[in-house]
Amino acid sequence: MSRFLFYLIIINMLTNMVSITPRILIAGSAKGTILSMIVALILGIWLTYILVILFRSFPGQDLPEILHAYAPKWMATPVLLFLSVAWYVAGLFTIIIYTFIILRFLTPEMSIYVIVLTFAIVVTYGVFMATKNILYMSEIIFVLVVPFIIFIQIKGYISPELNWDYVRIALMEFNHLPDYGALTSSLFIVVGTANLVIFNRVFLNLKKLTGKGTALLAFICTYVLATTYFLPIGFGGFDSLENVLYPWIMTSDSIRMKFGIIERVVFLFIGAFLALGVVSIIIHWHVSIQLLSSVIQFKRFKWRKFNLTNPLIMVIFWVVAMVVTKSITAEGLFKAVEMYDDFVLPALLLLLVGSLLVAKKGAASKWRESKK
Amino acid sequence: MTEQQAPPLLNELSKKFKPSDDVVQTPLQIKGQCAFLFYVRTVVDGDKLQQTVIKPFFEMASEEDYASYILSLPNQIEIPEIDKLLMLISAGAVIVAIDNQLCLLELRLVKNNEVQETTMEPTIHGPQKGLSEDIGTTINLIRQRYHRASLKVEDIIIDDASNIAVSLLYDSDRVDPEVLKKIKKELGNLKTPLFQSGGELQHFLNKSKFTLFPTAMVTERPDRIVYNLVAGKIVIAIDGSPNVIVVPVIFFDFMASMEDNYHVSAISGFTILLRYLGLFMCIVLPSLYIAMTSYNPEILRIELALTVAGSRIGVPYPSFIEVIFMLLFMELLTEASMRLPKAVSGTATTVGGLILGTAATEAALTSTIMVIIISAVAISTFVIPINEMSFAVRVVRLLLIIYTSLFGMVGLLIGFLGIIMFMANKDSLGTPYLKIPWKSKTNELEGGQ
Repeated sequence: MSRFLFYLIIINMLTNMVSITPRILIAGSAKGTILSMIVALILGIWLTYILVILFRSFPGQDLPEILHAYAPKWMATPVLLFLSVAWYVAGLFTIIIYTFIILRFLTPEMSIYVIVLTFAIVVTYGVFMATKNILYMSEIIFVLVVPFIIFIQIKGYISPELNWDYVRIALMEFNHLPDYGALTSSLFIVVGTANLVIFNRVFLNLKKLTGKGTALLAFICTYVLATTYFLPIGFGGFDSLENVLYPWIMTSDSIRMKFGIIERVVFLFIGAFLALGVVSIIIHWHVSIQLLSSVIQFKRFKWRKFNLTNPLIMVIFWVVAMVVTKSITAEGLFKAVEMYDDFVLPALLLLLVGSLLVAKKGAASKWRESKK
Repeated sequence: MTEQQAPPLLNELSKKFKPSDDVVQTPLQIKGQCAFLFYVRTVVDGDKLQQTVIKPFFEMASEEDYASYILSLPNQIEIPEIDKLLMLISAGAVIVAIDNQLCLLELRLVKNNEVQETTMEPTIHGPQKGLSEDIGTTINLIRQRYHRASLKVEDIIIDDASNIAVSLLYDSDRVDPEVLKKIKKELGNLKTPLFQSGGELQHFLNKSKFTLFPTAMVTERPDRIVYNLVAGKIVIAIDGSPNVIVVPVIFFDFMASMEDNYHVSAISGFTILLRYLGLFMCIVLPSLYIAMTSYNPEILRIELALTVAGSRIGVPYPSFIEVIFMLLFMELLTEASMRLPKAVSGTATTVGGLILGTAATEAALTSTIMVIIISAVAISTFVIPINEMSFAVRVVRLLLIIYTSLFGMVGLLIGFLGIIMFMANKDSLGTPYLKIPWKSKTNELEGGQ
């Protein structure tokens, strides 16, 4: 398994640790979150396996290329449009969540527009980077940031404030049937592989999931999912977390470094996850913009030799992001993410796998025709 | 015996060189034998000319003997077409005409061929001598350290005013042919009226108008050159320049000192760590000060936050002006001590140090902690082993300060990510500029150290 695929998956996973996902999981803690997490894990790894196998048959091609070549046009355009919007919204959620976190915990007096603008300059540059370079960049940032995250989590696990009894209570709730909401949100954590729709472009030789790779992936996914769910409960209590907006921020703020230059771990935590968040936004929007520009391309819209379609799309992205970030409430965001996880995500995965299967069939028949 | 006429080519050449006073066209005559010499006196080695060309003429029995003697000399070169010939003569070639037969001998007088001390990248354990300003000596130094038939030396003719000699050196077994093709194309397309040094050529090889980070390395160390040759890189040597250019290079090349190879692993590991820490510090520290004092003092532990705030009492402006003010003076000081003659630069640093150190804090123009930070930044800038990178870092630091002043702590973090992105998106002749070179993964030596 290629290490860059690992980064795609893990960055997606870690970014969601701070977002709304833990809140959704904790909201269903009395209704079968544990079983849904287990199901989501199995489902997620199985999906990763399937997607890797499917994309393997089209080395070096992204989804638009595959669909344009091997699938009927009436199918390709709507699928690509839908996927593009879905990816855009995924990135948008990340940006809104991080803007809220920054507003709440770092710079409460700053205007929302200024915070979004902070992202805008760097993320715009990142989105227009070459696909390969985005992978290199995410590797570097991953390597820089992960030690901090591991440090914070070790600090959390050995902290005397962590009450294991709450974790045991949470574990006792495994005898409920899986909850759909919790299932889909934990699934969202696991399916970073779907980014291959564009990133498959640079994977000329995508390796199949080996036994070792699957084991490692399963281990990391289990660990991250379990930490996401159990650590906040251990710190905050089983029943009292219902009304907490960002369980993980609260959790990390319960940890203190007595002798550190930075006393409150929460700042380290926000910093590390903010870096991953930026990478995640870049990955999502890069995918989105590439999908969109494969469908919409104004040929005449040019300045000198540059086609201005992509910059225009980017500007629209930011305008929408600004408006939505300004107008959405925390509760609205929670509902929106829940809806996205419940309806858009399964549809997205089904469409993705379905269209790839169609394309594979198309490719096979084309190959047969060329043989005749 | 009638006076023999000089061959027409010589007359043509002397017409071209007129009215230069150092051009010599002279006949050699003895008892019916006759030969003509044509050269530029100031670039030709007179002793050698006397010993190997003129003296034998008078000792030989016949013109034929002399001709075959001249033709067998080791420094004899084929006569090229007229443009190249003019170039060669102005660089120190001598034409010997015997009985309408023309020979070209290379008898350059090179005065700048002494091997120089390493000044830009000194090491304690490594070789102390660098390269030479003469391209022949430079290539000699490299070849004497790299005894392989696969080391190729290719002369490149650059279409500029000075016709300066440029050579490409590479190991044909190890070099990436794509990169070689690219660099040759780049050198062929070079549209510049005049260039004289390695640094300048590096500037032209960086294509885009705005470049922040160097994508070609200028070095003066033969050991580094050989190290890079082994890694499959291409070395460009230029006559008159005591440095050569190494392409393609990646970010980590600039952070490597040759000394890393000469120490025990623990020590070199420690110094490498120190260097990266220095790099990180000199980029981030000033911005961190702005973010910590003006935006988020609560991030620091309370005692430290109070100390910082306490030392800022009386400073009449916001922290970003303080930082830019101090940084400006530090940069001015660095620049001044680089440009000034050695005798004066000591005074400059003393005066500057006094101003920055005590007077500025006593006048409450800046906080004491700021002074500490600025000196830490100045010191850690000098830790970066290759000058070009430390210059680039000075500019990057400024950009990050601006971004932090605008957006605070988040701006610092995202701006730093932006720098990483900027480097990751760069390439040096097709090699990705910033990419983690895992040792065990694909090709260990190529592209990275």
